[in-house]
Amino acid sequence: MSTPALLTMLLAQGTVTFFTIYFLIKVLRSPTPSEETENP
Amino acid sequence: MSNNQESWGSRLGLILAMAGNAVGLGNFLRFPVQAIQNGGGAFIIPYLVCFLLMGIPLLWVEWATGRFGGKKGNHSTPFILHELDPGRAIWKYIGVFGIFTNIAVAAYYCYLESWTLNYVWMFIQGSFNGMGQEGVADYFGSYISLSGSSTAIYFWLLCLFLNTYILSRGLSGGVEKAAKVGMPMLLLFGLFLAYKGITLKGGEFGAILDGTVGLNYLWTPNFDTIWNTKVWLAAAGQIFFTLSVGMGSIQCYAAYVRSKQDIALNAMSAGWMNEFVEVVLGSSILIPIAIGYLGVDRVVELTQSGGLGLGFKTLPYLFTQWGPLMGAVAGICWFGLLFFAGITSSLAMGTPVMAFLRDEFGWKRGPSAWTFGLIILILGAPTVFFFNEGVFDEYDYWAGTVSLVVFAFFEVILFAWVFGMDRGWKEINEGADMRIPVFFRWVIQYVTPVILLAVLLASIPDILSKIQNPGNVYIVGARLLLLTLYAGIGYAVYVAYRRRVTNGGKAIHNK
Repeated sequence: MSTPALLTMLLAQGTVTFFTIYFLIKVLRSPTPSEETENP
Repeated sequence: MSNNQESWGSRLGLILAMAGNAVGLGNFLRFPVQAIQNGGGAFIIPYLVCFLLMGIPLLWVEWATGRFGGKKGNHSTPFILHELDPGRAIWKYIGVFGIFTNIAVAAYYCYLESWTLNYVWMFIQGSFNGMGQEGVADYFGSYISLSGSSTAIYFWLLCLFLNTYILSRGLSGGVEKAAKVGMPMLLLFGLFLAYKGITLKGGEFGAILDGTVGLNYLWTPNFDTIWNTKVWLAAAGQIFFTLSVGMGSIQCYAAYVRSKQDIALNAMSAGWMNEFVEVVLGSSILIPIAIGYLGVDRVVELTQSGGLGLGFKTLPYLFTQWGPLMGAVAGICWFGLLFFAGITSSLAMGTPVMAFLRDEFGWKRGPSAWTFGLIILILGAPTVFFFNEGVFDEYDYWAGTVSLVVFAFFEVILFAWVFGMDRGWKEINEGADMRIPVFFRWVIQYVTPVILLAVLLASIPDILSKIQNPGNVYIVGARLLLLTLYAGIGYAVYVAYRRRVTNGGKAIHNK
């Protein structure tokens, strides 16, 4: 692969993978809300 | 007594269902083709900018309006939008888009989904082995033209049944369970095929080039293209399709979120999960494998009409080159992942329709699911029987393209300018498990509406040209059918509103 293609791919896929994992971990670490706040 | 007491079983289930709603066949078939047609690697710049300035804001707006409507017992867009501005009658009729689009898209999408199921079956049976490239392409042609066989109809009916049955099991017992199985399977199949695509070696199993040649072609940036307006419109369009915004299904799912539960982080997690599937997996399968076997010029030629042909006519033959066992595994994985991508989206299309019937007319879960199935059967039949006459594409254009932009534009105006950005921002941030940058408040209020207006205005010449040149009588018929559908839902909303007036402004299920 050419350097520009490789850099673009790594940058794009790296950014997307980072944010996907970052937000997923944040969700898994967040506390579960109470059952009293059920929507009707 | 309430007849619509559905809720999500778990937070992860909700996120997987929302991500499943967004992840569709377009992630694997549309995105890579859009990228190679719009500047290769440089396409990712307008694409991510549109995701940041239009996609993420719309996700928050739709999640917030959904949860807000849910607090008042509304789970479909006509009355969710009405709740944001109860003084004006117009919003509930604009909210009709949120039911219309889901029905019309599901009508042709279930047929597309059924193709993937048939191809999985073909690979299990080993039917493609020894068929040759032309034989595989011809199979697709005869399959969709229904010539000499009713297989396409049986698989379509099976797919409709599967969707309806899962919907009839409810939100946590059906949709959420399907997402919890479908999404991990999709990721697993996708990772396996991406690995096969990237490590494809020229000279082995009939491949003429390495998989990295295809990756190189897809990701080589042509920066001149980012000054081209058409490339930005293509990027904005891709963000729309991939996130399933402007459909009304996100609002419906979010309406079942608990009133103080986070939506900001959930929306981010589901949205970025979709981006992972599209940018990482979607770019590593179709194009690297196709170029590895056919070369750049042939693939560019084949993708002129989109990625559907490449995915269904060409890839099955290429998989058979990997031997009977590996070919079958790859084929099952490819069409299996497309099936899971499809069904998790079509289930999301059924939910708003069921929610409307249950909220406004007090229907039970089962009858409302089977009614949805019947509507899809009736409305989908022309796309099956008159596919080659352009009915399928016509549904896709009006319901799956134009309606999304129109609805998204009006909903963001309603949220930011009528409901008001102060209340809107408070609603998005209520119960948030993340700090949202204030920058997005201004983006939602000013930037997103301007981008949507630009996309809408840019589409007008194409819309006018389509109206003036319908093509054939089947297309005119399809348009009349879609117009009748919109009018019919509009009338149902009117009837529901009259019933609410006699019920003290509340939905029937809240009586």
